[in-house]
Order: sequence, then structure tokens, then C-alpha cells
Amino acid sequence: MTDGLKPGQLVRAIVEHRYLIPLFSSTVHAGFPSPADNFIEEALSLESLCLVHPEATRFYRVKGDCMIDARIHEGDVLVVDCAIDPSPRLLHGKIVVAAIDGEFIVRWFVSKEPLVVLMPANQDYSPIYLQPDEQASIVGVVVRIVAQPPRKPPL
Amino acid sequence: MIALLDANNFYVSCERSFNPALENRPVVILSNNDGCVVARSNEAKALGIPMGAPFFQLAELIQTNNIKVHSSNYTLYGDMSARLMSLIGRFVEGLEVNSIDEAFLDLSYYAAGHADLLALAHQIRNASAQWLRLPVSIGIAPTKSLTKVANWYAKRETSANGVVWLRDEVAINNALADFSVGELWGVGSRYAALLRRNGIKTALQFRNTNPEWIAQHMTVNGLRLAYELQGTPCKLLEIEPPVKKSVCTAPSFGGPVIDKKMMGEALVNHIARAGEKLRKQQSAAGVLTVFIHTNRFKRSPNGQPAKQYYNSQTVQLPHPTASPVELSRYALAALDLIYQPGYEYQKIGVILSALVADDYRQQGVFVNGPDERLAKLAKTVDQLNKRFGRDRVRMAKQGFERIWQMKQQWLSPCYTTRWTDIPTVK
Repeated sequence: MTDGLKPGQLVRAIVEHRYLIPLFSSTVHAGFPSPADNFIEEALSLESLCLVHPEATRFYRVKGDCMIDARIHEGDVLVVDCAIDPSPRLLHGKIVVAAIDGEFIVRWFVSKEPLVVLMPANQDYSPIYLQPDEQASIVGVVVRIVAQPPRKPPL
Repeated sequence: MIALLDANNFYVSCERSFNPALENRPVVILSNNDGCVVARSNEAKALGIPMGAPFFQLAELIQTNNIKVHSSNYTLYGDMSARLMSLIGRFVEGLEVNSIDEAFLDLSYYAAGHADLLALAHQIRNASAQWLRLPVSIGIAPTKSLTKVANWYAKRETSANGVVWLRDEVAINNALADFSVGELWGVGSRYAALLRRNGIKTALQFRNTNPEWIAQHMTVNGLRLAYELQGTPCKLLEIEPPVKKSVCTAPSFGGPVIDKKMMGEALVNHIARAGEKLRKQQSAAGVLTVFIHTNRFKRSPNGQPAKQYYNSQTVQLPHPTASPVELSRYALAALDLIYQPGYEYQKIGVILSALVADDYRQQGVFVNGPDERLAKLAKTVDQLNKRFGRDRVRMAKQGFERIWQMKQQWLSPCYTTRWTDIPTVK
């Protein structure tokens, strides 16, 4: 992931994370210290894994099967980061959400100068070709797929 | 230098951000209870729909022009506002949030480094468009009042591309020369009329008016405005938000309400909401006001305006409190005093004022001080409701049927705050 900024652009550096310093549970005493105290780290959270830009992150629920070969199924939740650099070179090869004809669609982003192709991952659907001036319709990049495990074992 | 960032048609833009079918077509957003128009897309403005137009007068226009209508979705707008302010905070340190869709940005940090403020503003604008899908306009100038002028031009001049910087005397003078005095920040319609009668039509003329005349006719506030237009800051940035001085909750009923018991039920629910706000900012109220009124647009079956009633009652509380149990007892007593049977009421509201910090303790001479147990109870109820959902633990008087609840016929989903409401993608 890039952070959507071109080199040479002026931004303020800000401190985003505050790291809490763990309070060791054992008191100081003359005996043998708890061997686990040296290995305390922050607990993992799904947010730190999925949310790079919280303001720009939105969730979408998948309808239909046009990305089935990319393991995106109906009912899955997509974590979409909208803090992207919309240049085709950087988006090439990523799965994106786009706003086309009044609805949101999810497709592979393929750059074919000067056009952009939104490719389905299902042979039953056709690719969509975007003119350069239509490329503003790219909403964001799918950074995680949240899916439930399949219910039945394959027969 | 200061910048004023203002989201364009904010409520409409929030809806569009999650519903691309609303792009390039007229959209209006209605006030609480679907009463009147509070936001319009540019397409709706072009059709001549005025701000604040009562909805029932627009039925035909909406039908013939295929205008899309939405109720106000404050859950969505509030979340998008928080995202917008947080995004701005990635670029600048000093930020005064002026309203849900507006903020003053302190650029002195950048200006000192001789940075290109136009480029910075365009960066913020592009980030908002890409990250949030919200269009914004930015005006940059030496004072707050001048940023308002700059922002006005940023919104209207297509060549400006959403950003105007009044960087020197010449730019400021040119901007003020074409700016109507009535559009200035803080100049209401009465002052505007007074100024026009005295031949002052543009902001530039106002700025060059004799300061003594301004002080005499428009008080010190008019004088401050004149100085600000000269580039001398008189209104400073308030980076630390002041604690609210009063809390008001007064949504309209969904339909006319006649029954006093039902009004009391609504009142106690409003108290529950207002009490939550109080406790969130850790204050307690010393004064409580209840008001009721009928619908001023309502007509009788014979076409005559229906008979109207308005009244309010203010109660000085024996000691400051944020407990809904105490507040509702006094509020219901106030309602008893002002309720008149035979009217169709549109609204009951409650205002909590004379707010003090909740650790303020002063025993009355003849009354006992605040009941510590009630304060503890309110805190516990807040925690339970935060965990299990609003009003899961409630006062019995709040009722369950909520017949009075406000109308929101065209409410959009809460796209960002409820899992059941997230948008779909094909």
C-alpha cells in the first residue's frame, strides 16, 4: 500500500499511534522474577491489520458472483481503503471498487494504456472499459476480504 | 494565514458518497420530521427550490423533475463529519471545528515556511474527494472574516477550482469590491438594510466607512468586522472547543399529538437524550425549560389557519443535576403548568441550561444537596445502554410505543455505523 502521496508533496508528520507501556504484573521482590514479564507485547487487533487509514476505510457487502474466481463470494464483507493514488500504474493488478452507472462494482483493475479495463473474475461476465476521464469513478482498493467459512465439507 | 474549509452541500454529498445513483441529479434533504428542505444539490438549487421550503409545497415540483428526497440521516452525517475533521488533522495541527461541515485551519505554521498554501489547499481538497468522496471548498486569508469571503468565491467561481487565496492587499480589495455587504459574516438582514440605506452596498465600502459611524450603529461587533476586513485579526481561533452552555432536545412529533400523557412520555424521552449529552460533557444543569407549540402551517378543514398555542415554563432546580430521574420530575411538573387541552401539538422540547461541572457541590440552605446515589445510578445506566443498546434500561415513564416519534420516511441506511446497513457491491 502506498499512502496516496506523491514524492515532494508537503505534509505534516503526525504521531498516529500511542503505544501503551505495559505495567508488569509482578512486584519487585527478592525472589525469582516471572519469566513471562520479558515477553509482554501489545495484543493483536483486527483493526491494526485492516485499517491503515480509518477515515478512508469503508465496508461493502458482496452481492452476486462476478468475482468468484478471486475467492470473493456473495455475502462477504470487503474492507476498502479509499486513500489511494488513482494513477493506473499503481492500481494495476489490484481488486478495486468502482462507482459505475449508479452502483458500486468490484473488479480487477487492469491498465491498458490509454484505457482501463475492469475485469470480472468469472467467465460469465464481460469486462468493462473505462475512458481516461471515467477513471475518477474508482472508489478504493479492496485490502481485506472478510468471509465466513463454508458450511458443508466438499462432497 | 487562516483557511476556512467548508463541505459543499454537505448532507447531499454524504448521501452521494454512498449512493452513486444520486450523482448528477437533483437531490433534497429534509429536516427532522421531514418538515422542510435543509440541503439541496446544485441541480435542485438550479430548479429554484429555496432553502427552508416546506416540503408539502414542493410535491408537484418533485414529481415533475424526478427529484430524489431523503430524510436527515444525522448518524451518517455525524460520522462523515468526524472523518472529515480527522482527515484535515493529518495536514494541519490547529483546527477549530465551526459546525458539522465547516472548520477553520491554522496555517501560520506553513505560512512561516513560505510554503505554497494554494498547493496545500488543493492537496486537502483532493484528499477529501478521494478518501471520503466529499467535495469541499477552501478560502485562505489573513482573518476569519476574510476567509468567509474567500470561501464564498471558492464555491462560486469555477476557474478557482474550489480554492481561493486572498494573499495580498490587491486580491483582498478586488474580492471585497464585488462582495455584497449583506453576505458578510455576521451582517444580518436588518444591518444590511441599514447599510444600504446609507449607500454602503459592497464590503469594500463598508470597510472604508468611518469607524466611529460603524461603532455607533453596529456596536463593537461591526467594528471588529471592519478591522477583520482590513486584515487585522479580531476573532481568534478557538482550538479548544468550549463546553456547551446549554443542551436542547426538541424533535417534532411524527403527527399531531393531543394527549397529555403521550406528551409527557415524549418529554421524558427527550430528557433521557439531553441527560446523556450532559453526562458526556460531565456537567449538570441548574435550570430546566419546557416548551410546547402547535403547528403554524396547520389549517382547519375550512381552510382557515388552525388555532395556535405556544407556551414555556422555566424551572430553577434546587441543585444542579444530570439525573434523568430528578430532571423528569421537574419537567413533568412544568408540563402540567403549561399544557392546554384541545390543541394539536407539533412539538415538545426541553432546554437544560445554567450548566456547571458535575463535581460542583453546593448544599442548599433548606434543601439537601444532589443525591449521590442518583448520580451513580445514571452512570450505571449509561454503561449498560452503551453495551446493550440505547434505552435498553429506561425509566418506565419513557414508555414503549413511541407513537409520537418523529417521521423519517425517506431515511437512508447508516452506511458507516451499522453492519446491517453497509452498502452492497456487485
